[in-house]
Amino acid sequence: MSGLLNSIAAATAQGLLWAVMALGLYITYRLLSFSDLTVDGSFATGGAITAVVITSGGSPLLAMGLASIGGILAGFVTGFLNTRMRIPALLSSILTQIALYTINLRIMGKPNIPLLNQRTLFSILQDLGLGRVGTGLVNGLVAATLVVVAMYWFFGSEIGAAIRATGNNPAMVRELGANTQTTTLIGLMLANGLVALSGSLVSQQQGFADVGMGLGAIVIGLASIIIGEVLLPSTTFWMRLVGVAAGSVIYRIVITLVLEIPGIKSYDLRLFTAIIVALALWLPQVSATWRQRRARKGQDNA
Amino acid sequence: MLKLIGVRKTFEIGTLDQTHVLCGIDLTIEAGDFVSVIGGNGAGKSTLLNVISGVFEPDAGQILLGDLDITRMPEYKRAAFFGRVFQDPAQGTAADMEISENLAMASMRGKRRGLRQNLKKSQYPMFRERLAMLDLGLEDRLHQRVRHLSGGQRQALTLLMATLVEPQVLLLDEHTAALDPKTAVKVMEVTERLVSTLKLTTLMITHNMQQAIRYGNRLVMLNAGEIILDVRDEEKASLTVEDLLRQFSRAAGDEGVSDRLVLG
Repeated sequence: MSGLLNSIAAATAQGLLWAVMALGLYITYRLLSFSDLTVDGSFATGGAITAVVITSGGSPLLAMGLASIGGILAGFVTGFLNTRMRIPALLSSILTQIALYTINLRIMGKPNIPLLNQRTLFSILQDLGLGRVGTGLVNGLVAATLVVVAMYWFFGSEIGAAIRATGNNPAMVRELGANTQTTTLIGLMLANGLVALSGSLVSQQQGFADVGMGLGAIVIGLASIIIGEVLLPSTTFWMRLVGVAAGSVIYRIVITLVLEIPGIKSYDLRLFTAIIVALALWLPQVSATWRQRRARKGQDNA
Repeated sequence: MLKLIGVRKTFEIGTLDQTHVLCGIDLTIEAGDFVSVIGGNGAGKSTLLNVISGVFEPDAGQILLGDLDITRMPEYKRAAFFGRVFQDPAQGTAADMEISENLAMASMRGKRRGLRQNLKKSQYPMFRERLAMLDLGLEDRLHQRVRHLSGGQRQALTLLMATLVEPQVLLLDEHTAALDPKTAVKVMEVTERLVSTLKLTTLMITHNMQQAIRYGNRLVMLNAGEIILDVRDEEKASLTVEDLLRQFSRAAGDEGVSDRLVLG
């Protein structure tokens, strides 16, 4: 039993570290209504930059800063393709994602860099006597909390409000005199900055960076957002951000429990996640049809 | 104050679908004018408004606002001069944001947006006062999301947002056409109240002749991308729906004649 508890605690820590990525995705997917697949690439970019900086003796904080900048640049490229070159959102982000695969390999020089016995944000806390899981929990909680607070503040600002409104109603935003190309660009840059920061944290926690580590990140992020919205259908912006972070944690716990089922292999998880997300995206349609049917029945009876 | 000189706009130039929507519009709107623009479907009414507000660039001609040539200025930069209300009530507001947040964004019209908080408590009394002008009870619902408002309420809110920072010209694009008749009347009342209280220069597009006759001090009729009638003050005040219909059929009749001529 303590083994299971331990793995749930570990899952919580992982969920909090990945929550930073899900919160970044929330900016594009929900606030901007921009389907941004850059994420799969920029997550690995965060890990790649972190691994190179740390193995060349840079501090973990420097690594995280540079990783975020890498992500911000990736977001800029997608935004440039979309707003300046007028390539549709989905396609712009796929192009960046593919390009990043090469760039990430170029950054690392090889597909995988181990970070064992290196000074990372995690090894520092572990040296202070916190266990592996405890370290993950502390780092994850601090990171997710800081990001939620920063996002709450930023999206309440004049620029932030214009970005949120861009996803809602771009015509209105232009009508009020804000450049929607700029708001889209800023949103994409911030989002991918957070995604890369998450990639940096995850690579430090797992002890290596891998060129494939971002594969499927978008789907994991979507799952987190949707789980959060189903469990915390809240109207305030605070609670929606907290919901995304909570969704990421719950996703990891569910995955951990699923892996306990005999016969389930870890490579089954992507299929499992895809099915969960597909069902969750379907859910609003089903409930709408249901409500309509019930309303019609009510009328017939009256 | 707002001057259009020989403005032309053609869509799908060089293709089989080429359509001339504005064929050389000359129009000068004086400060304080309330101009109703009327015309049938495809007369070019909406295109006229879109060319003024910068959604489309004209192919030829000039648009002057005072001494400023705004012909090629991008839409978001012109927002500082114009307040706009669209036909679709959903188009003027951000549905997932609160009434207060929408108004706060509107209070930044045409200004540089920074990292200050969008919602400023000091603005709340002003928001409440303006909302009270609508007479819809919205002043007590500052923190409600716009999604929960009716079409008429949203349109009234959009009007408020379009005039919160006083625009040089208020542009109304058939802003009551999508509303039920009762709500349309109510929104028109609000419009008139705002325009007269704030003494706004206004350009209102409508396909409702009654509305065009009743509101404003000037009436412009468009047909096939040309101005075929432009009357103001007393002359406008004495117009009847029959007069307008006669003008319409005369214009359409001319077209009929020219069509027959072309067909030989």
